[in-house]
Amino acid sequence: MIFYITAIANGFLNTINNMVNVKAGECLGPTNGALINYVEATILSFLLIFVSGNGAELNFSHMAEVPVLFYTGSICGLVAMIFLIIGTSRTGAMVSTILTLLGQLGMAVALDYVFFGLFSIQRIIGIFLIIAGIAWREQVKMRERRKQIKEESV
Amino acid sequence: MVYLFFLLLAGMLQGMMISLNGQLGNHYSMFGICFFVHGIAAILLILYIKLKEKKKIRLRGVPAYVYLVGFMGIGIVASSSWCTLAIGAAAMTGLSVIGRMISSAVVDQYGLFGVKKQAFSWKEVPAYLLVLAGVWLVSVG
Repeated sequence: MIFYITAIANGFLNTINNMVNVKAGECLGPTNGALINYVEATILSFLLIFVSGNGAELNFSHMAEVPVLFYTGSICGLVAMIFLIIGTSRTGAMVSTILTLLGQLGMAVALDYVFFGLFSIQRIIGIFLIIAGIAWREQVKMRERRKQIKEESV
Repeated sequence: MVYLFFLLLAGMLQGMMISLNGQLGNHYSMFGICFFVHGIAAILLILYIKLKEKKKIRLRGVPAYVYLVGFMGIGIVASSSWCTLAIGAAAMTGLSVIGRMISSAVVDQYGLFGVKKQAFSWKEVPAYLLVLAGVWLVSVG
């Protein structure tokens, strides 16, 4: 149960983090704005490794034992950010939200199969239900926004 | 058409990122994962700013609360990696979507962070229920 609650809390944190990152981007530009997050989190986590008594994991011999592929997650994240900026600028928020989520969940299901051997038709149906729900919500939001703008202009 | 593919690719890469960060959890503590994930990205971003944009590195001149992003970054990476190892990347992503939907509704409702106020509409409820059903299927499937 704790994992499910934490995963939902992760979504909350993501929203707030995005808002604060937007503010940082407005003040310093998108790249310098994003850099604050990465530099600060690197220094903090470095200190926390030692405070929590796990300093030994930064030994070079230990680092070399870990498959190189596992270190490439952040590179994927950075490249994704570039594609997201280019794609969103030409399509719009709704299409962007739905397609990125489709890609994200599709890849997550594929990699769950690779790493954990998890796969079922229910999972695929679940993904389509999530996408349908998000599309529905975006549609309602867009209609409400249009209505609001109309009312304000009258 | 190519831009739609870019968006799909962006999502796939984000899915890969969550899974790969989760796999790091088999070898490092939560803070160890955060260190590598953020450290590698920081180095790449510094190189990009210096070599491609040819700009100065600037980390000052933002409101004080912006400096909380580092703590939030650690919270996001640590929690997603921890949950991914336990319940899988798809369930983790689906549940996180629910959290994002609820929190963005709260932000819209009260106009937080300077966002234009937009009241919650009950017409959105079936959409939330669909997502909930989808996440349930992904989690138990």
